[in-house]
Amino acid sequence: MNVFATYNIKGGVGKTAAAVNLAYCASLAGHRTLVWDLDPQGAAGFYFRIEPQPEADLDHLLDRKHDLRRAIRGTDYPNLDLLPADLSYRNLDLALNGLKKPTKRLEKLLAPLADDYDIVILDCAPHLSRVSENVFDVANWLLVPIIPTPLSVRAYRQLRTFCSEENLPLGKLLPFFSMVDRRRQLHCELVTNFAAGHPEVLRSFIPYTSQVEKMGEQRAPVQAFAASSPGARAFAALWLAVCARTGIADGSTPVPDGVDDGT
Amino acid sequence: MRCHYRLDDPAQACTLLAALAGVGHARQEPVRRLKRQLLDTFDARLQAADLVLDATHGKSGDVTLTLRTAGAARGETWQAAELPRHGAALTRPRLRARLEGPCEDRALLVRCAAPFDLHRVHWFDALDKRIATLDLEIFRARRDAPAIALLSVRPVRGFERVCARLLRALGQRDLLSELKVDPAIALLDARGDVRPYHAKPPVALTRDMPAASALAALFDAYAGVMWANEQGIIDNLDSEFLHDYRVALRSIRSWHGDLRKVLSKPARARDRVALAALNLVTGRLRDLDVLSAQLPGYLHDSGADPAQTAALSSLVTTARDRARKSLTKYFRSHRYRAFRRDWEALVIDLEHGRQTGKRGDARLKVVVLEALHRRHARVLNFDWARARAEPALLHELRKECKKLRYLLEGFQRLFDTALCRRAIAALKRVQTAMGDTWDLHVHHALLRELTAELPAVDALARTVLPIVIDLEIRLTALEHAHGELVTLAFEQFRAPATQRIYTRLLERP
Repeated sequence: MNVFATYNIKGGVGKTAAAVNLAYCASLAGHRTLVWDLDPQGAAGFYFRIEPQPEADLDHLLDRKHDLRRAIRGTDYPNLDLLPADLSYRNLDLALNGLKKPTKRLEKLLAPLADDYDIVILDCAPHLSRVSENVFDVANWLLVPIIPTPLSVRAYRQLRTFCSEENLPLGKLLPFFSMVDRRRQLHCELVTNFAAGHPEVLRSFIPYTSQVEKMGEQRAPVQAFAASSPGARAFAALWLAVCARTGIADGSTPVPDGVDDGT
Repeated sequence: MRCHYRLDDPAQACTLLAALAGVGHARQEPVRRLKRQLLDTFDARLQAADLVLDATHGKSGDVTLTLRTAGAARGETWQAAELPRHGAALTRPRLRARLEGPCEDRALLVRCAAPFDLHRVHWFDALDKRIATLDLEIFRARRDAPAIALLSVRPVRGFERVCARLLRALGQRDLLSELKVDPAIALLDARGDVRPYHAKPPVALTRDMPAASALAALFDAYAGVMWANEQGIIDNLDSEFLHDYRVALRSIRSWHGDLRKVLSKPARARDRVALAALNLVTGRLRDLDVLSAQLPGYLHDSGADPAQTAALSSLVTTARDRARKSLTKYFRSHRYRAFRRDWEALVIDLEHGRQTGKRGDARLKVVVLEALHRRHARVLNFDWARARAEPALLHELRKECKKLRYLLEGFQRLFDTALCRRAIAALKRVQTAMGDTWDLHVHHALLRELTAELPAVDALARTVLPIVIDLEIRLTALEHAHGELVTLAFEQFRAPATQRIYTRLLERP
């Protein structure tokens, strides 16, 4: 099981859109995929038309006897499931602090799902907290959307500094530019200059398009309702870039084994 | 959790569809015309292993294959350009591993094929979130099979309870009954396309029945096995088709000879020749099949380089192809077709008391006991000292053993089962030892024959000859080494402890 997390200290950078669309690409490639919405806003659930579940609230989440799988819901797409968020996740940090080994909690919760899913994508809330430490611990890769603005770039640098100080492997970070508006000179300059100094930045970026914004209206991944739009093509290209970097089968070649046909 | 139902009256499909479409927020997809095929080996090994492999053909020619444990809600699906011929042909490791075990190297055949109309309905909740997909598959009626309609309900994960509530509302309409078996098995049962295959089919025999009737039943059942394997041999699917064909043929031939007085003289004479010819024409291909299977093992320790290995393998494969073509030609000949006609006529005649000999009306057990006594004595009185030294004589002894075994196997029901099994097991040990030695002898001779056909100046001959000479030496040495095993096995068979089993078995009533 490969665990990805869409993470940034800064909010509003397109973490949920990236999580939803990359999960959709992964499911199309034949990987059994789960999106775990850790953001109490529950935006990923909104995109998939799935409401918060009582079985997924904080009490159930931290109850050792509770089976997390009961809270998982199938989406409208084959191979793609969602573990919806609950508003009670806003207190997750506090709850984790009171536990033994608080940074290993997510890892323990995900372990039983290893046989069910090939890819898990954690859609994280924008902060640097105990939950983030759990995410850093469990995720094999951190997908970091960056808007080409000074504040967003600064947030990425802060994240790198944090990783260095905490001895976390920087190789886990997969930054990419999001919401790039090529009409703006600042965006163009920042993308060019920043990428030149940071080879870890993925070459594919997500442009600022109205189709991605319409996800909220259509409540579906952009590829599901506008497959040939620039936004959909950008997410497909980003998925290929992520696969190339991580060595995961991208779907252009057959998946090594049969695909579970259960919905 | 996937649920399957059967529509009690397929004519009610429209009513059911209207009901499905009327539940909650439902959307119906356009009807699709598809074809479903159930795949299995000819001896239903997948079914025995509780696996279901089915293929669904779309209009565009694409094939979707599904492998699942019978009755399981989930399976593994994959797309393919064509149906897999063997489990080993699959490129995906996990699927290949799942199929290879039960199938071994048996070919996958279509056990049942049925076109159907797929009516797909999706159920959505108030948020327009899909909560279930329902597939109503209506298999059309055929001349010899009724229409059948199956409904499968696939709730989306996490929405099982909502879906169950909706289904309960539907259940009140008294249209459906829950399927207790896998839908593929239900389909197979309903269509009855293929009768169960047994390489050694069970035949109901009683001790007091007339010998002619018993022989007719055995001839009919075992000839059925031969006919069932013909197409597999022609299509070159699997060497096991010819193996089963020849086991049935040799069994028939053996009973035909051992119980000859049950048949009339003309029938005996005519069919004896035809069966011998068939044995001869199939024997060559079988020998080459066994050689092809054994050759990699022989070459493994011989130190042959890859070029030599490839050249020799290709020589054997070419000879095998020639033999197969020759057999295919024989199967399509007037002579063979006439044999089949005559054989079927003989079975009918025997059933009606025609074409019977002077022992045709005798009690079956009496006739079989006489034959067993004769055959057993021939095995024990065989000139063992000479047979040990001469492969041809050893082969004759092996054939005697085989005939004794066929008699025991064919008429097992007339005797004490446990005793009969022990007698067969003792015989099997001798046969295996003798068979291995004979195979080495045949392979040795075949390799010599195949290389002798090559022109001396031929490049292939120059590549192959050194390794064939080496193999000849090694196979001869192996044959001699096997001789000891044969002696040991035959001594065991002749031992008083084993013969006491035969004495008890062959006691006259």
